Amino acid sequence: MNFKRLIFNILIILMPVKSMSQTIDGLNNYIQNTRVGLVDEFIDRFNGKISHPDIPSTQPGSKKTNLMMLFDLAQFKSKNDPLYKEAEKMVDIVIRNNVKIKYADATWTALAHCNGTLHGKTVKFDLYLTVESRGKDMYKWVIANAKGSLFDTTPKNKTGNIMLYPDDHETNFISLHRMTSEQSFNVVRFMEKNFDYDTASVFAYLVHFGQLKINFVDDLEFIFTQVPGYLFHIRYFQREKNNAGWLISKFDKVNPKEKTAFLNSIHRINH
Amino acid sequence: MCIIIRKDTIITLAMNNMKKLFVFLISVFFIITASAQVNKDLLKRRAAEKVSQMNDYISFMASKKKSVEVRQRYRTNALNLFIGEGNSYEENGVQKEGVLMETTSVNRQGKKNELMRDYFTRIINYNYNDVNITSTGIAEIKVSSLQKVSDNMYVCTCQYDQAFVGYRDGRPAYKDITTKRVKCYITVERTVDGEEYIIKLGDTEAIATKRA
Repeated sequence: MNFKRLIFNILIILMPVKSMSQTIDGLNNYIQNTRVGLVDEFIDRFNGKISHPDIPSTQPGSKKTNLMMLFDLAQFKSKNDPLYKEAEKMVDIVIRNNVKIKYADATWTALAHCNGTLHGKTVKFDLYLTVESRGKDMYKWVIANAKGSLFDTTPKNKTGNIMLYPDDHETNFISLHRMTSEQSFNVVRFMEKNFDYDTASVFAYLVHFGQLKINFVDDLEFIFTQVPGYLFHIRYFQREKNNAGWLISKFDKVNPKEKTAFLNSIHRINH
Repeated sequence: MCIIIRKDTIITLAMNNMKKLFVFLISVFFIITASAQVNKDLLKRRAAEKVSQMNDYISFMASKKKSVEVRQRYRTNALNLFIGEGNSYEENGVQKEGVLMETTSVNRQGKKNELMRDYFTRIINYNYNDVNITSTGIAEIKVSSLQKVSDNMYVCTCQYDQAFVGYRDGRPAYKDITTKRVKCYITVERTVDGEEYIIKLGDTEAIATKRA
């Protein structure tokens, strides 16, 4: 191992445990400055526009060190952890391909873990949001999809002759009344073979008619797909360390087909 | 007398003038671009100043060393920094009850939404002998990029920390530090003298609370 690499590796391990002083009231400017306080700041650090205050741009390998500091370093056991090595590979690809993240990209999504109320009961569900252009350099966030067990319409009875009988038309379809009053939980079994169930539409319906309310967003993460061969999540880590704020909480190796499938599932394409 | 001007001289003169015109236009372009960039940075600084001003008012509101009347005045001053002056307001044809403060506590799970005017009243009425609230200095407040909402409106977010200490019998009875993010609305008004920027604060999110 050469001397430069040794220094780099020592810095990576030691940085998170660097001690910092606190003011009497508990506020710590060092933490405020080193923490990735805003998603905007994560994007700027990722793109190399700004860097971690502890990493001078003149330092050899500063680009890579800066990117590694955007990971939640607590997920790695050591620099020999295979996961750490994989993170380094991802960072190498970012540098080699000069990967940049732009706010207007259609290739990142927000995942809001919501706490809501449905018919008086507390429910949890997820909303996927993406950035949409409004023209003239203006954008907005839009809800692309909704997921959660509260949208689940898997029938309770998967076997048996649960159906509208072939002669039900002769009795004015009394069976429809029976379906909703006796086995509403099996409604999907009464739908046509290629019935397309869209949870986002269900979400919109429930909110529109005042049945579903969002109390608060319990947890928020963002998923980025801009790095070739990878997909990563960022989450907010509130802690008194120089490795805190919006950090890469997990990352996965994905092939182009898997990446496309993920993006299609967010935008409900080929649903 | 006849003045003869050679063809290549005319071409050279024309090209020199074109070059000068080109350099002039490029300079004007960079000046305009630089001015626009300076304005955005200036607006971000002004947003941070507004947040810092709000934090000062919160600190004064909380201090039991001041009379209730004085603290109520600071409450009014603080609310005037917000959209609708902290009262109900209309946005895009929809009536809103007022600016919200989302709060967390070390003593409870989940988050609570509270009207800013009620939150400020609570600050004045804290049940401690004294309360000390301090916030991140203006230089350390982080400001996101300005996002354009309409031809005359931009939004951005400011992030800062706030430390709370409640005293009983001269000793700290409760301490916590909360990280907050507040939305800022920047409206551009065109006046006779040029452009004027009005900054109003919006909903505030409290990210986490930890005992100090």
